[in-house]
Amino acid sequence: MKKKIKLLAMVAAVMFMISCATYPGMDSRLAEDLVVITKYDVGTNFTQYKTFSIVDSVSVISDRDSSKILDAQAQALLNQIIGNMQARGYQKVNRTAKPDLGINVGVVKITNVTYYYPGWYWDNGYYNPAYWGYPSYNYWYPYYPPAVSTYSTGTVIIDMVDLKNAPAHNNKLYIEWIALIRGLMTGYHTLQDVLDNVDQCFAQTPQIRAN
Amino acid sequence: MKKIFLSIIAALLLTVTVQAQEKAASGYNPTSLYTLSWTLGVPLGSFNNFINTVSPAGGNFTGRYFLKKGLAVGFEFGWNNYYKKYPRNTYYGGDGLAVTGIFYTYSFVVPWKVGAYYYFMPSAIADPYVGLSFGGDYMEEHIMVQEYDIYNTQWGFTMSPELGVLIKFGKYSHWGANVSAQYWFNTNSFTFTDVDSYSTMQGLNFNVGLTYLLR
Repeated sequence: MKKKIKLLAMVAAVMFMISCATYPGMDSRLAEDLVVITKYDVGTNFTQYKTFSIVDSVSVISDRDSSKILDAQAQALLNQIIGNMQARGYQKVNRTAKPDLGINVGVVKITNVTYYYPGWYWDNGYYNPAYWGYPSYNYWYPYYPPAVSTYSTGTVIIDMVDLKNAPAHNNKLYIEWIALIRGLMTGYHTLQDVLDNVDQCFAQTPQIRAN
Repeated sequence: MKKIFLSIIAALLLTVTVQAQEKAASGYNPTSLYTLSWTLGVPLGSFNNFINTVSPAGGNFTGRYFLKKGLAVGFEFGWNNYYKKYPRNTYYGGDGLAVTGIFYTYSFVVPWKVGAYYYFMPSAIADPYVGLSFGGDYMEEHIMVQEYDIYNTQWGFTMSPELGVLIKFGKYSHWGANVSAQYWFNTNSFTFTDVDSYSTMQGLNFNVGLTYLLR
């Protein structure tokens, strides 16, 4: 009888544990995978642009400060973006040669931010509009940008800026495309994973093409 | 005085004994039941479109009181977790948005109900029954990617017919097992995007539980 009760109690305990099982926690979800989020301005036609220029280093925005880096990893990241742009028929030119598109690249490594408003990193050591020759301009999303509640996990941000129509846009540098690669700081992903996900950013936006 | 007191006590004791004997004589017939069950949940219809996975993560607790032989009323409180992992894929929103990643859908359903039940053979060891319960369903629906968690919570009206059988462990035992199947639906509806909208959740619950009987 005692054995029976013990067995019954064990079965009941296991059943109870199963009955309370829920989805995997945030940490294991983060470790699984890099997530790619892109959004483009549905009101624009990307074939109107023919040339582009890209920043000369990657902005790293962290808790207290920011810096611009051009180590091998940053260079690999920039090269991957350049390669994808050229594959879509855009010609790379110097930033002084009046490019149609400018590309900003940043990595956000903030660990203690729980809330963020779109574009806050512009005041945080990101590329100044002056870099593109428009010191009095502001960056502007012509659509509601993807909502991001926290960058605590590490994010690559790629912004594609419309320089061609800047004078017609009322002191605003329209960001025609934003791409986010998230989950860099979990320690589970390699540089190659990041580069593969740069390809994914372009793959999920076939609208970006010069012809 | 002492005599009167003693006779009152004696009378009381006698009454209790007689009542106990009457109850004992009634054998299998319970006056009330409390059951804790493990639940296997199967989503149907619109709910199945949101999460098409069978969930072993559920349970419920019921109490039932017999009004007269065979007819009982009672309450039910339950919970069910459903989740499904979707492989890495790209999802397109209608506004230029595209997201690539591993997705999870998750739903938590908590019914609070009252019901009426009819037991066909209350004086037999195995007692099949039918029932109908209704009340409110608290429900959460989540879509999750990494630490993003897009969700709705709501309350809706719920109703569920039930078929089951109560098996008593002995003629005078306080314990028994309860096995039942419930179909349920509720009036909850939710929308994530223009494409992903769901209304009127439905499902099937299979319950296996341990029952405590009072006579």
